[in-house]
Amino acid sequence: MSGFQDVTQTQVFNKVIAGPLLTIVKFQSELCVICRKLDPMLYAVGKGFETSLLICEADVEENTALADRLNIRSLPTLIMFKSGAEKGRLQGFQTARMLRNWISPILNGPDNEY
Amino acid sequence: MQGFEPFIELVDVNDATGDRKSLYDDLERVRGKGRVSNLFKAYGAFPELGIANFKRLTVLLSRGTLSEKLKEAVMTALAVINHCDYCVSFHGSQLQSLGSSDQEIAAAREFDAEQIEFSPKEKALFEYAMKANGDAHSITPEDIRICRELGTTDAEFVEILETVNTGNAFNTFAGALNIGADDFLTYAMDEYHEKKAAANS
Repeated sequence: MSGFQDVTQTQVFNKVIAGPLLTIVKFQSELCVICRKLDPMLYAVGKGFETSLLICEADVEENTALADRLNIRSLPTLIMFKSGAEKGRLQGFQTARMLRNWISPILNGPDNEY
Repeated sequence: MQGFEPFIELVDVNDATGDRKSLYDDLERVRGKGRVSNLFKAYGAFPELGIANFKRLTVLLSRGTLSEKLKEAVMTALAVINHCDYCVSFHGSQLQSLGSSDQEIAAAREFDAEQIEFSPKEKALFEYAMKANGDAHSITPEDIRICRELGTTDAEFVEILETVNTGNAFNTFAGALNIGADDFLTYAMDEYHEKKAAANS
């Protein structure tokens, strides 16, 4: 249990990513060790951005249709959404620094009002 | 719920005999009187391994060319990753004794080497350590090139990777045997006791 909001169900996923917050979804599976190793990095990066950044996770084994729809080909995959639109994606393990470098330009960009 | 007691016996310094006493004597000679950590009291159940591991730790921390601050910062970060509250307090205390500020220790706990007074090479090696720990096979020639251009030697790659190995090994040991924090630690002990109490409530 990572503690991130579970958006595995398609209906929940659609609703959450359509929201106004910058949202990162970690696509993972129970058996993916590297996926679990990402969690502390994501927690650390999310600290201080609780009101502007939402971090969620979806299990691709439990919803293969969602994984197909988003063209998930390897785990973990991180996809960043804003108002329903994909803003970027990363595959594989990421350090906190890599995540900060990925998120900061978008979080601090002109189209992010938070 | 783990409870507060370690899962194996930790023999007090005053009750140690034989090889166990030799291990404790080694620890006190290097660290000072009364500073036999609970981790190494657990190793006392298999003193030869305890002695070998303490030698490994002593070589890692006192030899080599990388700063002790870098190695302790990496081990602090690993302790967070491995949910080892004892190890966070232990390595945080070590960083305090090396002169690190609370802000720097907090930065290590958030894997943010940019906020720690490190040289560019140390920042690159901290990042390399985090990446190697997360997925060793994700290290690329570019990662190596960045460290090399900042002056990292072959021996220093070995030194930082051994820091990762040692940190993880001790975190596993402390967690799986439910080993509690030492009385002589100074960093975040209130936080440690609160977490322990919450886990056992």
